[in-house]
Amino acid sequence: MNIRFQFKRGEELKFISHLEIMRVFERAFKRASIQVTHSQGFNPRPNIVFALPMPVGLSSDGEFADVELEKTYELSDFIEKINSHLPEGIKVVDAKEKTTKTKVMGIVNAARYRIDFEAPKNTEINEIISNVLTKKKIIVLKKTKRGENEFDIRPLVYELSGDFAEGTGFFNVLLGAGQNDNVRPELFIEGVQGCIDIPIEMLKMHRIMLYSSSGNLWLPLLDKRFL
Amino acid sequence: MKVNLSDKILMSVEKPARYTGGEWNMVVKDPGTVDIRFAFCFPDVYDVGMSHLGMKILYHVLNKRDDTYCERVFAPWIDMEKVMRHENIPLFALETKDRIDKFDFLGFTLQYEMSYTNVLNMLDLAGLPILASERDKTHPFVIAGGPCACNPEPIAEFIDFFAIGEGEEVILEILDVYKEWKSSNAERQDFLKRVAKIPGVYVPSLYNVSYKEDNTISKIEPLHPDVPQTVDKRIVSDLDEVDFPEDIIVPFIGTVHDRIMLEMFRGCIRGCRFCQAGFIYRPVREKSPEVLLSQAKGAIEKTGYEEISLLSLSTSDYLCLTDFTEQLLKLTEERKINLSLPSLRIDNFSLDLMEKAQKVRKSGLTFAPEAGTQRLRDVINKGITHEDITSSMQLAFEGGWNNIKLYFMMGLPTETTEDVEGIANLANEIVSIYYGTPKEKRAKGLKVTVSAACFVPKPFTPFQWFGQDTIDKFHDKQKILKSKLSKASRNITYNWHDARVSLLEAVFARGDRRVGKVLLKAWENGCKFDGWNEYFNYDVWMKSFNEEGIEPAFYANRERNFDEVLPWSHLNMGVSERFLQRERERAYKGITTPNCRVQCTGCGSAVFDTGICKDCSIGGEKA
Ligand code: SF4
Repeated sequence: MNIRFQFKRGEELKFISHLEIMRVFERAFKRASIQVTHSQGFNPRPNIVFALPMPVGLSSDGEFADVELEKTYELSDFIEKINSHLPEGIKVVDAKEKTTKTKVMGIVNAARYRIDFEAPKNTEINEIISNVLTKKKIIVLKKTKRGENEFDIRPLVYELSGDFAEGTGFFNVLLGAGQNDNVRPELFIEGVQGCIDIPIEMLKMHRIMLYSSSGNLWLPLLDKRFL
Repeated sequence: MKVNLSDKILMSVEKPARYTGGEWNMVVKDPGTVDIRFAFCFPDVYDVGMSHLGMKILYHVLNKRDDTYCERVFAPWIDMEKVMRHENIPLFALETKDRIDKFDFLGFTLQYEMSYTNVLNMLDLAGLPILASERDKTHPFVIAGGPCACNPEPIAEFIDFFAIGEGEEVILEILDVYKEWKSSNAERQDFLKRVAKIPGVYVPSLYNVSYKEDNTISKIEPLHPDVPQTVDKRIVSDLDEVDFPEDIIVPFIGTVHDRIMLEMFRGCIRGCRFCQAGFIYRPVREKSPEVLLSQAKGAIEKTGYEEISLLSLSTSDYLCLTDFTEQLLKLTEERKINLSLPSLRIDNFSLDLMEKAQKVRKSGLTFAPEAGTQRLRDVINKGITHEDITSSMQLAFEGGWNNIKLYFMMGLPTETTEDVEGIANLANEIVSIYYGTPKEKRAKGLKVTVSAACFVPKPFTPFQWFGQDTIDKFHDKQKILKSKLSKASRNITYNWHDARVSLLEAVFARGDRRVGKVLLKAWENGCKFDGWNEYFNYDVWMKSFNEEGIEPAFYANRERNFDEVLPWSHLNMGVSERFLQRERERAYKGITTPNCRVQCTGCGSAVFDTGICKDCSIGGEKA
């Protein structure tokens, strides 16, 4: 049976790396005696894949993963079982059966973030937002395997709003995400910084949801159209 | 009181999960409901400390008590310490993030001498006086145990008291006495006197050490009549009965030994003369296969780990090894778990077993001849012959292994140039055995790694009187070996140890109370994480010796004679002085001693009346 599930990771666990999160799930499945199928070959790996890596420091309400199981489960049973074997700070919130062959990491193309930041008290949030949105290009340096590349993130800033008071504020931003055009929150903040003169410093980053587009809609990855 | 670890701090350091806790199986208690708060301190970074089985056992044993909450504390890595000192964040416990200076106990485990500066640094980070004599009623008791505690003298000034031997029983007795004392509202000193009566507890401040003109010790004597003259080590008599943790903490970040460790037995029958563990953990006490299997199953279920490893000083000596591993393999295969099998002797059975256990790739095979010639192997009582070595290598190559790691020691007693060259000769011979193996049998691409450590003589071994080679001598020998190996096959890689580290290990392994001053000075001069190459600073250490007017050679390189009062002579680890002397005489004559299973040689450990001493025919001569 193939299951796609949505999970969240809270403040408690946001300091562990993506690789470690994968291991948390592998071990939790083992403890819960939910048998995951394994890949063939020299070094068999459990068949669990994640939608998008979670950088260290990111909390999230909208993460997704696909898992292939040896047996069939009631979805509510599955959720209950795995949750009772996951550490504090990580929780499966929903699960659906998946019948198509598409893998979750192949369909992600946007992510909504709440990014908290610090800036001088007189900062005008609306000015920043319009400043960013009216730019034709926002060039940042993206690290790749071969060095640093210039990267225009403007076409990947799909929506931007925010609020600010008393020296701290937040952005609510929908950014391009996925295997190809991924804009990490740090990169977005770097881009914003390039558009304005006042210094801003990121305090927290939180992923609200991962989406895939269907027609002109952004839909969560558990939408039946993707399963 | 909780410390405040902001996102900003955690995002600024490497591996922040070292400091955030919350792992699976972490014990959660309401500190308000317990009488005793215990900080189990490991004087190294999280990734190292979390690999240590002893800590897991004591964490479990302590937390089983409703009246106690045991939490973990590790040495913050250099980057984190910098932030902590800058932001005035004291050392805290991982479970609650509470600062530990108001806990009841800080318990350090002493696994290697080079962690001593970290002990001092952690006391300082916690906000405690470094010197035990400066602590008062508002401070926790700082206690320590572990293998290095068998000569606790170098850190005696910093620790309130030590638990000698295995800790899981004595620690509970200590806590009981503590509760009594706490409710009696008596002086700090009074508690120390009370615990000193518990067998296995050593309170250094209750003993006076006096010295002779030549700087050797003249006497070690208790300061009060009711303080014992000698402190006997404690051991667990029946390992099947002791409560072994199955619900061990599963770290998020990778640790050095990131797997279940199944302890098969304690002690070792072999009696290799250089090996401290082989003497201080006597007698051999095995767990029954049934108990082991049920613990393995329990641990697998409760942790979700993908690997389990057998732990002992010499796995091959386990009595029911064949049956036991057969059943264990069944269990691990069924659950798709890797089984790793360290410290196996290489023979048909073990190669077959390793092949079964590691279906994946053939990983490296480690093998420890320890010395390059048969003469020297007999001196150290290694118990393997040249024939054993060549035939096991032959078997290994025929079985398709091609990555061999060989471990040796340099500077063993009676060593000559011939013995040093013998290391290279042996490595060469192993290479030719490989090329002599039919092509269709052997795997392509031979890799032989020769590691040669510098021998550090340790207390409670037959070599405890031995003067370690000087750094220069080590360097000469390393040069000899290097040049000999460089002319040899290109399949051989040579790793050597930093002789300067080994010198310090020798000083602190066999030092007396006076070297504590050097330790303090070195820490004040900035030494910490000395076990890490990149932070070990030899020059600062030498400067510190100089400043304290202490000669490292006196402790490391000086040959002692049998009537010298050794700094640890008031501690009794079971093996008698007479036995050690006998063993040393035999060593120098190149006479080997049979292992406990072949023949008991009356080492003194029979006083514990358990384990192998109970089964052996003649019984141990009472020490
Ligand atoms: S008393 Fe005999 S059997 Fe017991 S540990 Fe010593 S030598 Fe071995």
